[in-house]
Amino acid sequence: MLLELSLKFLDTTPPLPSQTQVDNGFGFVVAAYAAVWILIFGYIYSLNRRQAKIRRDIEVLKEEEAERKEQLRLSQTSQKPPAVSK
Amino acid sequence: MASITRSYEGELKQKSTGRKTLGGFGWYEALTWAMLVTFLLTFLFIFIAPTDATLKYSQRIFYFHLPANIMCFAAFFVYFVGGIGYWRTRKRVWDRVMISGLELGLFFACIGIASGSIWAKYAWNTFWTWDPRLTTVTIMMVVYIAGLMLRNATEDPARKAALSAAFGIIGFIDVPIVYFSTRWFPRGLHPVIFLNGNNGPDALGLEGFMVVTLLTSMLAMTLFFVWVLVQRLRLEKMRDDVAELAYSLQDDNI
Repeated sequence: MLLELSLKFLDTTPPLPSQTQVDNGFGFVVAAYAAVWILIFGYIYSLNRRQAKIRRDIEVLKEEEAERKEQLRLSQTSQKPPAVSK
Repeated sequence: MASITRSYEGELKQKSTGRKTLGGFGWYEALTWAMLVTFLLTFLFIFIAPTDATLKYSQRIFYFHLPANIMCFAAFFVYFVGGIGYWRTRKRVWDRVMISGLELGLFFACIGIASGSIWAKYAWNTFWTWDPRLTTVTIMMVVYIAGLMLRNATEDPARKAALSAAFGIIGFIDVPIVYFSTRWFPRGLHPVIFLNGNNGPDALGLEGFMVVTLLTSMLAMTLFFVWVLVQRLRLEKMRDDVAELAYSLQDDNI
C-alpha cells in the first residue's frame, strides 16, 4: 500500500519506443545472450580458479606431510638397535 | 590425516585421467553431458520458435530470463534450507549449503537483471524503472549482498555461520514478495506470468512450440543449476579438508 502510494509520485512510465527500435529486436537478443554467457563463463572461470588454488595448497601440504614422514622414518631408523649376528 | 591425503590422491588421479566420478558412479559426467545437450537444443529451439506478435524478436530473451530468475529463487531456497539446517544442528555441512545457495542466488539474480534490463530497453525504452517487481528485486539483492558482506567481514567460523543462517532465514521472506509483486501492484510495467487468471500456456502468453522451447530452456537451466551447485559445494568441502589437513600438520609440529 505504502509502495503503491509512493509510486504515484514517481513517473514510472517511460516514452514509447520508436518504430525502428520495435523492428530491431534482434540486436537486443544478441546483447542479452552475450551478457548471459559472459556472466556464466565468468562465474565458471572464477570457480575453476578457486579450485585450482586449493589444489595447489593441497600439493604443498602433501609435500610437507611427505617430508615429515620421511624425517620420522629416518629418526626411527637411527634409533633402532643394531641386529645381533649369529 | 592419512585418509584425507588418500582422498586427495584419488581426486588428483581422477583429474589426470579426465574422468570425474563420485563414489564410483558417473552421474556427474552424465549430468554434464545432459546439461550441454539441453543447452544446444535450447539454442536450436530459440532460433526456430515462433516470433511473438507484440514484442517481435526480443521476446526470445524470455527463454533465459524466466529460467534464470526461477533458479535464483531456487538458490535462495537452498540458502534458506541451509539456514534452517544450521540453526537446528550447528553442523558445518549446512554452512557449506548456505554459502553455496547465497552465491548462486546472487549469480542467477545478476543473469536475470542483465537480461531483463536489456529487454526493458527494447520493450520499455529504458534499462531501469522503479517498477514494483524491479524495486522488490533490488531490495532482495541488497539484503543478500549485505549478508554476504557481513559473512566475509566475520572471522570466527561459528559466528559467521550463525549470521549467515539468520540472513538466510529472514531474507527469504523477500522472495515471495518479489514473486507476488506483479499481482499485488498490478499497475507496474512488468507482465504477470503465471496465476494471471489464464490456464495452461495462456498463463504464460505462449503458444505451440514456444512452450516446448521454454520447457527445454527450463530443463537446461535446472541442470546447470545442479551442476554449478555441486561444483560450489565441492569447493567448500575442499576448503574444509585443506584447513583440517593444515591443522593436523600443525598439531604434529606441537
